[in-house]
Amino acid sequence: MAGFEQAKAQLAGLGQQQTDLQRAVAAGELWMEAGVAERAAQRCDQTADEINQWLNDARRLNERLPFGDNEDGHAAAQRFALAGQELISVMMNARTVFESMAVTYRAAGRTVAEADAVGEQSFRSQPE
Amino acid sequence: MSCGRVGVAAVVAVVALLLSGCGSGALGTPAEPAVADASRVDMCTILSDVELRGLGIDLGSREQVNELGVTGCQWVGKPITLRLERNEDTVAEYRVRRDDPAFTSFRENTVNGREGVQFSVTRSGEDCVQLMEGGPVSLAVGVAAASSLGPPVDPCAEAVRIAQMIEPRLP
Repeated sequence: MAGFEQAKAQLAGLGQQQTDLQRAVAAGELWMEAGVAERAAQRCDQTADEINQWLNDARRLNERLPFGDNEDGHAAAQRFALAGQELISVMMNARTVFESMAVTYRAAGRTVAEADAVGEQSFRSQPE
Repeated sequence: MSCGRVGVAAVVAVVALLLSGCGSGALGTPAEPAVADASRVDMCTILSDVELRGLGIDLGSREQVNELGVTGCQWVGKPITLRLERNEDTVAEYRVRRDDPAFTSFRENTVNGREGVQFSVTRSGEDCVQLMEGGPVSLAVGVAAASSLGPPVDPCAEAVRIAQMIEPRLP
């Protein structure tokens, strides 16, 4: 379980960084050129998909725990089932972090696009 | 003499009638029809590309599965991820394991009248597997929400819906 705790702690750190980025974008302190932001967001989407395939494998393994039908087998099955559920939960949280990062990158790209549009609008409305 | 023959014939006829009655279930509970052998069903191709796309599946994400007695394919998409598998364990064998700690929920049901079970292996309940009887094997439809941020998905309802599409194509 120590490995899970370490992974959860690292994930919590990553989640915090993502929240900080989200705040910076919302405050207008962080922006990205729209194409760059979209490419970064797509990479995050891809990672979330990879985690989803991994989750498909993990769920299948978790439903077919190959242990004997005796007391020791049942005890082992119980421990592995709980560990498997814990691991799946950690990986689902990791997926959520990547999904949130994709949303944040797209928001950062929109900020620039919107700023450009406002700038262009105000330039056009300048009296000659 | 002829009376004796008639008597024997009558007894034979009555016994035959009773036996045939028992066999057909006319006198009691109807016998369960045996489910045909689905051990040659290819779950990777049982739904067409058009049907998979209609479920939001990304066709390019297809991964083949062949491990632990399970053969099939899995995909990711939006809003769900999908597993379609043929499993060497039968529905009856899964029923015996209903109290297995791996399952966070487990219930018996039917799909278009075909016996099955439905279960989840995650505490959040974001996944659901619908298993259907296939003779010496079982057929599985596994659905999970692909995203934690998108609109909520009912994975069990979706798994049943997909199983209902597949069931008429099974032997």
